[in-house]
Amino acid sequence: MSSRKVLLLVASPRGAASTSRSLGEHLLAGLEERGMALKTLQLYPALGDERKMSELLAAIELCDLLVLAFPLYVDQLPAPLIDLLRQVAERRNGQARTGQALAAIVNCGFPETAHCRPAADIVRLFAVQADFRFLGCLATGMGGAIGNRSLAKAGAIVRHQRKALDRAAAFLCESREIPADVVALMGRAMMPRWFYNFVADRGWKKAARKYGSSAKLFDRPYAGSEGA
Amino acid sequence: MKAVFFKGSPPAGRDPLSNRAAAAVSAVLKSRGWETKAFPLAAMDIKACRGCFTCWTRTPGHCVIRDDDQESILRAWAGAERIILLTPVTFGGYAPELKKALDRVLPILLPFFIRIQGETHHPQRYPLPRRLLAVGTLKQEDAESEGAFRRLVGRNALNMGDVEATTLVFSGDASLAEMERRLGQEPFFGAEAS
Ligand SMILES: Cc1cc2nc3c(=O)[nH]c(=O)nc-3n(C[C@H](O)[C@H](O)[C@H](O)COP(=O)(O)O)c2cc1C
Repeated sequence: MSSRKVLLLVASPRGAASTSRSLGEHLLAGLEERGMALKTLQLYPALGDERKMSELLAAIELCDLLVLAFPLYVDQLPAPLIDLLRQVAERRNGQARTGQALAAIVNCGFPETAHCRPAADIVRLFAVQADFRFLGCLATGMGGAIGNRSLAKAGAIVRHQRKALDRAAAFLCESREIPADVVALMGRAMMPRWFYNFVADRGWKKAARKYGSSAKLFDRPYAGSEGA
Repeated sequence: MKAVFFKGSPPAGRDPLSNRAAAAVSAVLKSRGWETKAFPLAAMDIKACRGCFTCWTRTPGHCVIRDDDQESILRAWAGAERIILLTPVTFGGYAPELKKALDRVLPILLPFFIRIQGETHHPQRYPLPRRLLAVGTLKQEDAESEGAFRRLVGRNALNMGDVEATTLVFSGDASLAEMERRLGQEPFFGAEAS
């Protein structure tokens, strides 16, 4: 049985309530079944907290497999995650290969998985520069449909994603690259695009009603102000 | 012409190439006489986006974080016709100095969905005919990182409402004069002010 260590780093400000965590935890369950030792850390609570941040950096150095789970922000990684990766790469600069591996899970709010492509490029290039073996990036659109539910609770809509994460676990525990068909399965739509967009649109309006801000949804508070 | 210049160079002294590129952009902007708001991002207090979407629902157009420097950026973006992003190319993407500000521009979008080039995107809260210039710097030439950077800028341009985008990458020991010359030739800047 393997006693290799996996570190799941959840890099969403929504933390325990994030889609990133739900996806990451599902992968972790598959890795645990295969005998890997698990650790999960949240990035955001470590921001501005030196002790937590140095613990996090130390944990990254100690794991055999690092899994980054994050939401797509403005077509790429959230700023604090880029900052962390830059620190990791700078600390390793010039050091010999470590034999560690890296995989990533990214989800985005738009229905099309294709939005995540630059994020997959970035984690791969980070892996090259920081001496991790890159095992792949699993991306999915329609992240909003999962919300803070576990994948088990999210039901049939996430059947492709569950299967893709289960299959990916079998490769990752052996330090093998995630095959292209598994990446494609992860990116399959959870529901028809028109339906996702319809539900999301309704969701924004419903939230605004709750806050009494329906009449302000299209407000332009900075129109005609300085610089405008 | 109203422009916003996101200076995403790391803190002074850490990256002379990026600082030189920033100086070159500033010089060209000055020669055009544009009304520019330049933001030295490394020196600004910009907290991380909380991912709460309050800016779309509870207080449309306003970020929930009010005790930092981001509001001045939102104000400037609302009326800008030219957006300039400058950053060291970092793993094929943007450095955190630039990205921390971009993560917080969600209030300039509307929550609803529109279709652009067959994909889903958000409408602009302040629609204007904008153009985007992204200036990246790379200490050594690196075709892979540059390619990833260009693709990323292309995606950002779609998300800004399918705006016309120009990407320039300076690498190695490009001099200030050379950078100014190359920037000055870009149609993005139009002709020099007389
Ligand atoms: C600041 C910000 C920027 C975002 N940018 C994008 C984007 O460029 N493309 C996209 O599809 N979704 C974007 N989203 C939506 C998130 O990726 C989406 O809500 C995701 O499901 C959040 O995942 P999480 O729960 O793991 O944080 C953005 C969200 C925020 C808050």
